Amino acid sequence: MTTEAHTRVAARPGAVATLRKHPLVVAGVLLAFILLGVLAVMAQPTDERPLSPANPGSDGARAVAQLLGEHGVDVSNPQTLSATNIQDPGSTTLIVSVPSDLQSYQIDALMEYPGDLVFLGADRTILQSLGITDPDISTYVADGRTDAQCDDADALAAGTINVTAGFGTHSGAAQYQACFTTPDGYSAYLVAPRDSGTVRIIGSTSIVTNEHLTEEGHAALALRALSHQDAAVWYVADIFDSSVPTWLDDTNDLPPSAEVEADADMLPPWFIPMLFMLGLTVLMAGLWRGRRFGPLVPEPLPVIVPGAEAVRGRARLYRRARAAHHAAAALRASTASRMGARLGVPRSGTMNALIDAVHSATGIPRDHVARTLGGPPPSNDAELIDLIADLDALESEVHRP
Amino acid sequence: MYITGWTVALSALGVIPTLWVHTREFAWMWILGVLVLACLDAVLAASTRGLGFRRDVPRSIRLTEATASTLEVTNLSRRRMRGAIRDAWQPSAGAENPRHRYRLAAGAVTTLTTVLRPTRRGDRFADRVTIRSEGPMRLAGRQRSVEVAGQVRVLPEFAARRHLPARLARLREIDGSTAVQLKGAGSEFDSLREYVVGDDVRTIDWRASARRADVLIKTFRPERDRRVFTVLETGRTAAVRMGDAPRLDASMEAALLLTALATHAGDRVHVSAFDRTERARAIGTSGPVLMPELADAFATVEPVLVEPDWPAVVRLVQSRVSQRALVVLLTTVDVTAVDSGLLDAVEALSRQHLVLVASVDDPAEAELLAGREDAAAIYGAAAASRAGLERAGVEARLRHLGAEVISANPHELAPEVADRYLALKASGRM
Repeated sequence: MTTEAHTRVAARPGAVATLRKHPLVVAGVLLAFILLGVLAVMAQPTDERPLSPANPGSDGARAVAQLLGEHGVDVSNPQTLSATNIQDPGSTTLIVSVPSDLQSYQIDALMEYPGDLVFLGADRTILQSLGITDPDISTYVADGRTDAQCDDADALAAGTINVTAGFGTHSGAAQYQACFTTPDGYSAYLVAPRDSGTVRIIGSTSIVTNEHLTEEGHAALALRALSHQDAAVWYVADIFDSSVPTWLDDTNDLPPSAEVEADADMLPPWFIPMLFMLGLTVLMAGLWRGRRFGPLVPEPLPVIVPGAEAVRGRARLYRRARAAHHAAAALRASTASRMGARLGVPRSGTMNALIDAVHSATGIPRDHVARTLGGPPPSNDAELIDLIADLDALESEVHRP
Repeated sequence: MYITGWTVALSALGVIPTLWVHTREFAWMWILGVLVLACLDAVLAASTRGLGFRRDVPRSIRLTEATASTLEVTNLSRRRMRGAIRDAWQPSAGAENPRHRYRLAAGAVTTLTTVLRPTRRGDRFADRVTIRSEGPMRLAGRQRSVEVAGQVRVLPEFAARRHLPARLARLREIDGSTAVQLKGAGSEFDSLREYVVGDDVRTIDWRASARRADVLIKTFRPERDRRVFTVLETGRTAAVRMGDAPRLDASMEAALLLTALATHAGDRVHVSAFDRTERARAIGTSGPVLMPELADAFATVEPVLVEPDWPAVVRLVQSRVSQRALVVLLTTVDVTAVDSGLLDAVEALSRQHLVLVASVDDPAEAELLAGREDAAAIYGAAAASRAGLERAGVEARLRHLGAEVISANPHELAPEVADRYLALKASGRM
């Protein structure tokens, strides 16, 4: 038995002691939890657009939307006009909140909708397209309690309403009925039957808001005006949405386009959850592989000096300076010294002695040898390359066994 | 804490129920459940404190050889333990199998062997031992690291030792102890013997011949008990890479071969690694203990980015040896030697000693010299030519000062130095 003790992992202080030692950490973690909780509560997405069927605020219209739902009307709330995608225009009411935020081409497209159309809010373009040549829109109407003053069934059922905004229809034509007209001449409601579907405009939009729905006959007018059909598509105008509405046209006999766009709805229902599950599994795999088996071990690195550094530096200097003559001198001198060693010409000997020795050893004409070893220096890279080829040829002759 | 692949497999298994339950909440709940199970498993795992370690490593090995570090693991707890152990070493220690699985009953002992194949000379240290203790469900476990000291000294490779037998044979020839009689080489008096035809008449000892009826000649043998002082320069130029090893390693090979040879030849050997101060030395010993001592001293010598202090080298040599000696300077001969004081040092040393300057040639420079591909390569060749000419000039000056000069490729330096040493010995110049 050896007496040498075993090395062991050091004992860790208890959890309570650790916490007591770092009160700031504990406080920080608690704070983070509280902050996360508050954020989670705050982060509930709320719809604050006026006249939105999902807005529970005072200027929202969730109450009407819910009442419509209770009355058997299927209300959908697309976020863009192009997403309306109405399958059966004949039995679907298209409700548009705040039409003043729409572009005129969008309104033109909407007016072609072959079904019931309800605008919550008045807009010049709409009124003009209905034949009102000089619409006069007022956002504030004094002394608003007004009776129906027309023979529209919905308006008569509502009885009296509080008009807070309206539109003037001074140059009236026959194809529409304006109701709830104040003494000033502003109407709050307009019904315009068309060949297919009816256009209704609720000019005084406070009628449908959550805040004022319970007053007077507001609820009756709103519900009746919006529930002529079994389904309703409620779009809240958005100035950032530039799309136009879409619907299935009965008159269009052509079969639908053969091109089917990929859509999440076409995937089997388990596909997305499975993908999600797999994503979470990948995260787990990251935890598994990401946990290092012990710390990285540092390596005390040696000094690394690449070889021939100074020589390479000098080569770059030669090149940058285009010093072909210097390079040629170096090459000639070293070739000469190697050939001299081979032919037994001492280093201290003259150039002529070497030239003679090379000439006699190889039989190459003397003036060629002299020109190669001691001719005029090259002035550019091309001449340098030629010279070195000559030098190499000469040297290989000398070193030939 | 750590999790195992089983935890991941269990989370992947959650894909099957998602075929029927199509909600994300289910996926979250599944993963959360798996995580809770894993945490529970980690809590249930045995404490990593339960394992005790003892390490046993060989003190030193030669570079390129393999050795084994053994780690004795004892389960000191009262529980059964299983998991994995990582015996971490520095990367250059070349641990081939640092990860081991273990399964130990209470009180049981096992030995884990990690094969080390070091890639660099010097002291290589063991890092921490990391313990993983797996939980009963094998989903997760605890992980801690502990320092278990360990160290192995990696000695220089001494690849040049393959040249040693041939040099020793040559040494014996000079010595006259082999069948091939080459008496006469060397300058130290050995014995008298009768003259036979063919002997050098200059070796006839007339005084002894007068006392006897025969003609006697003196025989000589190579000098013994000469001093060989090797200085291994570890300065700036020793750090330059020759291929994948610094120049210093090639010089070291030469120093080792020369020392081995000189020890066999009966000379006294001093070796010193020097730049501005002495980094390592081996002196005063002789015989078989010298080589291990030298290798051990050299193992930790690394090049330093400083200019070598040549006057200090002269003082060092003069303080260590008083008789004439062969001073071998393993350094670099290039144009900077003129400024750095190498020439002055050689001049100063040559007054009393025989100086041999051995320099390692850079193979990269030879490659540059042969470059012909384009203009850039030709300028490289020109620069290399110029460097070669400058070096030849310095070498000529060194020879003029009376020094022997060798410059060779990294792999050829050691045998060249040994051959030159033998030649000097044979010619009696020591």
